Amino acid sequence: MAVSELGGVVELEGWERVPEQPLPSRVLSGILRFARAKPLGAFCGFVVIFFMIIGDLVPETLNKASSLAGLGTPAPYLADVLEKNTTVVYPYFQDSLRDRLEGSSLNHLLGTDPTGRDLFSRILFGARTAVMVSFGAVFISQAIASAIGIASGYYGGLADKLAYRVVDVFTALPGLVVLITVLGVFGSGLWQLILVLGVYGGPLNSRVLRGQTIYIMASPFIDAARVMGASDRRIMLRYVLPNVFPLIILAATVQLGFIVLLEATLSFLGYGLPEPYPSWGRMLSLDGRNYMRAHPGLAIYPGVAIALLVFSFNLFGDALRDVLDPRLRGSR
Amino acid sequence: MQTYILQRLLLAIPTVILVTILTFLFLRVFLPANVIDQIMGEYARTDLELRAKLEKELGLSSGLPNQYAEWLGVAWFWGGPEGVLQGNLGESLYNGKPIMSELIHRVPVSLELGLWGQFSALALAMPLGVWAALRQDHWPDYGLRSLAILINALPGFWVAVLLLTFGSLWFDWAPPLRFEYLWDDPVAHVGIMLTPALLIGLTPSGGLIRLVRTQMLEVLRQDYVRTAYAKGLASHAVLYRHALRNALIPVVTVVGVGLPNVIAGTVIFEQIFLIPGMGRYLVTSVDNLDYPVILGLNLIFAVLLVLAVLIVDISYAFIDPRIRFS
Repeated sequence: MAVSELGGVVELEGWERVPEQPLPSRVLSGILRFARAKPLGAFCGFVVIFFMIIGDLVPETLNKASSLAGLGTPAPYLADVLEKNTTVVYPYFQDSLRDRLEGSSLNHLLGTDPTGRDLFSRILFGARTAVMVSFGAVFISQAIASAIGIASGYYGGLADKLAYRVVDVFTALPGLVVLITVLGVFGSGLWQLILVLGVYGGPLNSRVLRGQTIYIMASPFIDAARVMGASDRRIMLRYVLPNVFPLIILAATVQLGFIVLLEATLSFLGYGLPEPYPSWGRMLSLDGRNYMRAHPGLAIYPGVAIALLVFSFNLFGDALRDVLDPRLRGSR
Repeated sequence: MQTYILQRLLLAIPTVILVTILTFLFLRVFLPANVIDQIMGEYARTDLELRAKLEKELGLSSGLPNQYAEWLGVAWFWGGPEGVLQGNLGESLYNGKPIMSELIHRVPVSLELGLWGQFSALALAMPLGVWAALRQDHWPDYGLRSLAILINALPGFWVAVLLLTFGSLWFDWAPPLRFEYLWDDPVAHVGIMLTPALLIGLTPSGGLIRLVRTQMLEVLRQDYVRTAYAKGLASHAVLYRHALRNALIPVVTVVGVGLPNVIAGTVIFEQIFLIPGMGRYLVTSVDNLDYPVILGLNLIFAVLLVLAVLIVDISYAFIDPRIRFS
């Protein structure tokens, strides 16, 4: 290890610089360590990634990145590939009244719904809705939460008090009632859902970050940064944010499952995506109650998909917390 | 104790006022469609006289602060119309009836459902949590912990859908379509409320089982429990009189935090089981774009939640003296 002293580098005796591994192998060994410590959590992590690929979030991101870099769109959408190359995946809107309410068969793996749309395909495409809404809303939430939490923890005083009165009001609101009101009055859709769920969750998640910011503000390195002449913005972005980042990740994994459930509930009540877009919650809605008696699969499979995704999010989040949170390390 | 209650009451007032301002602003200012246009349809552009009359009737003719004062009923003190403070939430745009006359029937139903839901959550979670703690690291414990994780991942409405589908398929069971009030037919009323109340309680009970278990485990390791055993008390006396009472203290706070979930539960299950409470009223009025009703319901829901959290906090202070004096 080298200590730099007024421009000169002094080698300390007995210290040897550990050669740094290249990034991919470090990431890989990190994942392996996580999998060895938390096998169930890692498995649930893979289920989450599986849903992300089905939901086309991974190909979407890759394509965006590569088209920005000028490489075109190399990553295929899984659902599109399956639709072209297999006989069991259909477009989610393709109905055929001739084979409505069919049971499971080789053509329709999970049967068909009252208008003859393939249930398996609709559940597959429904993953896209669930994954996009949950990740989008959580991203917005955590961005708002860190802005409010870090700023009010950093400045303190009157601004902090005022901000936290408003946050208190948000916690005092009955969530589902407000969401139904907003989405019902202003109309619903993919972006409305993401935005409304994201903004609603923002203040609620900021409390933890504020606490951690106040805790960090007492550390010597903040004083050091200030002595060096760093601006408020620089301290917040370069010194506080990296230190609250693990907390943001943890809150996000907890929130993901919660948002999936909330989106399903809102769609179930009729305030989600409009038809014909597939949403797991809407597929269970009571309009189809009479058909569910004829084809019970209609009542089972979408719910299994919701439960599986939420379950994986929750367990993956738990495992991540055990690994990331130093207070819980070594305990259960 | 009185100072604590007074303090909490005073803290709740600004919250309620901010809630009224936020909901009012939201539903009056950011409206997607002008209410008058909505009512008058194609006549909105031509019949200016009727337009002015409607605006006056709905209290939309004056400036925004004035509208707020009139709606809240503050203006009543200097001769304005009656408002929320006088118990007048306005009239429904849909059928012209006063909102209050509708709410008088609906609020007790929802309150009762919510109370039963909360009660069933505790009734499910407490014995199971204690059982898991007493059999720590044995099969009951593993089973119940897995069950709690599973419950956390289950959407409550899905369980209801499964119940309705397979109830009618296998047992020819269906929830009654007609609602009976408690004062008309108590037996039928309990029969109607039982299933939704249990289902409302199911979702919060997942977290509660885990909490009761960890609290119980922590209390069982305390010295005073060992003392109680050592002086020869029967094990049920130790468990119920010494351990459980102390283990339940933190559970009360979680009940307070979980109250919004219970409200959400009443909204969902009133819709599924056709119970004429506030949640169903909200859904129908949102579908009809009945703004005065939506505004009034949001206010009532928020005030009820604030009051419920207040009650939980105060009872927490009753149970745990450390809160009162800090």
